[in-house]
Amino acid sequence: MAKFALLLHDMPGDYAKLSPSEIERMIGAYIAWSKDLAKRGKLINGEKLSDQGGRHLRMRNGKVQGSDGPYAETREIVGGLYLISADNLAEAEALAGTCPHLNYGKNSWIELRPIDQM
Amino acid sequence: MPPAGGPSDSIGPLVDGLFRRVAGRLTAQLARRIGTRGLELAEDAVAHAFLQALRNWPTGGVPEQPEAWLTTVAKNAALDRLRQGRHIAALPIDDLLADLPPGEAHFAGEIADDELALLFACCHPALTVEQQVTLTLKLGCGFGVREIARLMLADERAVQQRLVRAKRILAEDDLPVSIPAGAALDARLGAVHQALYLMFTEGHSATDAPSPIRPELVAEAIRLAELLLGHTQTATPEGSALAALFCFHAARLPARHDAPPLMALLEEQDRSRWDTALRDRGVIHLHRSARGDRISPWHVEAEIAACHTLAPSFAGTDWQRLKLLYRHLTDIKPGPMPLLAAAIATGYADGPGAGLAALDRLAAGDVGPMAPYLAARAEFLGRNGDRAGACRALDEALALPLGRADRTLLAAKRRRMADG
Repeated sequence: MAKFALLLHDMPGDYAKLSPSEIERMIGAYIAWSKDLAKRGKLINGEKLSDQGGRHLRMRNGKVQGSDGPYAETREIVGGLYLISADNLAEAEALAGTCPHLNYGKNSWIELRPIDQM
Repeated sequence: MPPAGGPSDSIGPLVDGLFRRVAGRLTAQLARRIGTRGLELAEDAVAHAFLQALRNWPTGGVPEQPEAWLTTVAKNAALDRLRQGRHIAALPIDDLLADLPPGEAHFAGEIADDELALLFACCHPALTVEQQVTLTLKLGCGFGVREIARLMLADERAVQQRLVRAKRILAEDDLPVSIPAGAALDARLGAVHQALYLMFTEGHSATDAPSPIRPELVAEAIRLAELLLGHTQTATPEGSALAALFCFHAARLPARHDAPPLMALLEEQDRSRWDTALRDRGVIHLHRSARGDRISPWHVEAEIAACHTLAPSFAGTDWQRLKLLYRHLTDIKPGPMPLLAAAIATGYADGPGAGLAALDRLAAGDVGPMAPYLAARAEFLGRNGDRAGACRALDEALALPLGRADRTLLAAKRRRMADG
């Protein structure tokens, strides 16, 4: 079994006009999807990344220099991630392809990254 | 299995419709503490909380107490916005939301008071009935603009504009969001009843809609009417009559559901499919409406609806009583429909000849929309054995501009009449 990270890219501003019921249905779809994966032993974890307050760190002239991440409602960000396990990349891609994240938001997409295990 | 903190395993918190319910409650709680100038702010803060849930819950997991989570986020968002805002600077911001109940554990009565206060604000007499209903659906019922446009058969931009204008009118005077007291209560309550009545009729009798019945509107009108009855100040005999009227009509909806857009006529409905629980609730409300010394149009309409809904069959309906009730209604509620209904009830009570005579007595200016009048004429002509006359009346009706459901219905009737 290999591990894969699903990085959920989107723009938070895309969801501004949704009604409470629409949001409820969307959350329900994500939860149903991740529960199904968990039941099949494919889900390792899910993590939410903050939409604000990120820091960018760089070494400048021997000193660590930090700056605020360029996050804003109108920027595409990685809002969260899932860790899943799959036999191979093809299976991981098939699983990620059923994630409801792909159905919501004009700018929503999933970055699928295999996790190297040496 | 996901470790703790991963996507929640319990589907419990996401009960269908929970978010809409919570949106209405939260908006009411915030608005009541801030006043009408803060309606927009309350709405924004609540919307923010739901968006945060969407950002967090799919990957972070559903919190154990979702309502409390949403309440805290909305409250903090409201406080942030209040601190930034200049125009409401006079408010004691730090204490303002201190008593906001945290969510799940709260007193139901207090929340009902908040929701009622918001309902009165939304149905303020400075607004048109249309604006009142739209605002109530948005703030009090938690519907989105797109949903309201669908429910009220309007386009999204028109709904958006209606909301902006309504909120601006209310904000101008910075009114308290509260249940009116004393003499003002009576008049304000009348406006609320009127708005709920429009909400209900929009929900169960729009013949031009692709689907003529919109159960969400019907359910919300009943919920709000019963919310009024749960409070001592707003539980009036008129309110009980209104709730009875809603319940009786709604009880018959299941028999109409199956065949949209063709609405099954009362005569042809399978009465065994009527909702007996709603019918019984109607009976209780009707019983409670028989207090005081005022008979409102709601009372008469509720009695009429009861007469139809409690009858064992179409033929077994007490048409004599209905004839009198409709005549009574024409006295207190002007308009073409009660007049036409009274003539039709006369036909079923005293025979098709009497019905035709009653229809003939209606002056041209009285009958309003022609199609129902012509359909009634055709019915009684047919029952009187004059099939050719009936067909002519139906042809005349079918030549008029009609909604899709009405047209299908009349065309079917025309075919049956011609076929014998």
